[in-house]
Amino acid sequence: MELVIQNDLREIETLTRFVEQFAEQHKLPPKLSFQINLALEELVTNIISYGYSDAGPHKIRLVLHMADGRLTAEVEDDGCAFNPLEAPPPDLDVPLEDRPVGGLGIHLVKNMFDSMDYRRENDKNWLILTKNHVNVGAT
Amino acid sequence: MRECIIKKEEADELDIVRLDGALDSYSFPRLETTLNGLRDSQRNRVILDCGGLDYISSAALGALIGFARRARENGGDLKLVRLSPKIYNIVELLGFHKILEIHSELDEAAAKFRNG
Repeated sequence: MELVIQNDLREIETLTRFVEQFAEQHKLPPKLSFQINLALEELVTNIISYGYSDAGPHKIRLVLHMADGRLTAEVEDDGCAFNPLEAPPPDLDVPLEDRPVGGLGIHLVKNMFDSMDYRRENDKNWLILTKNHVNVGAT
Repeated sequence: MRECIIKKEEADELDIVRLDGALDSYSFPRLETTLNGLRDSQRNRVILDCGGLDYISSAALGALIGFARRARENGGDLKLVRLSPKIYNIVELLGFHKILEIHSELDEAAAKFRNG
């Protein structure tokens, strides 16, 4: 399944519906649907909020694919080069008074999927998330 | 996902903010507005009832950190109650369970405020 959205946070709702439809189609367990939605929302929010050096319209393409118990989620954007694999892990032991408010989304994404691959090609970021051994039809 | 309904009620010297629905990157500024309103009225003892919350993004959790920090600076706190396992899982993954007070029941959090 494929979805193309604009760089507008209002599109998060469209993204959520897209994930729900995909989950329904493949009878994914609610927990997995929740994880996919959370990971994609974090990534798309990062792209929309910090990914562009101009204020113009941009497209973000998302593809969800399920085959042989393996789920892949692909995110493609034409924002500034950003490799989330190089993002340093947050220090989760920092006390409240010193805790930065942001920078946690990528950490969540890494925890929701088994692997992440990134490449920069044709001035676009391509991120592929993979989850193995998905129990289709589970409740 | 359900749009988040945010209800605020005053109970003695406490404020209870009840969340029902999903708080994503688009909708969380509404919670921020509610919390900023409390801060501006010097209401720094707040319980966030997450019993009806079925989704939260890191951006929304970040807003809670900002409020909790200011509340503590002013002698108050933000306590979270009634988190579902999947919401608690996110809170835990982000290490927020170490810096925010979490209670299973509202009465428990209210008692903690009263007894210090």
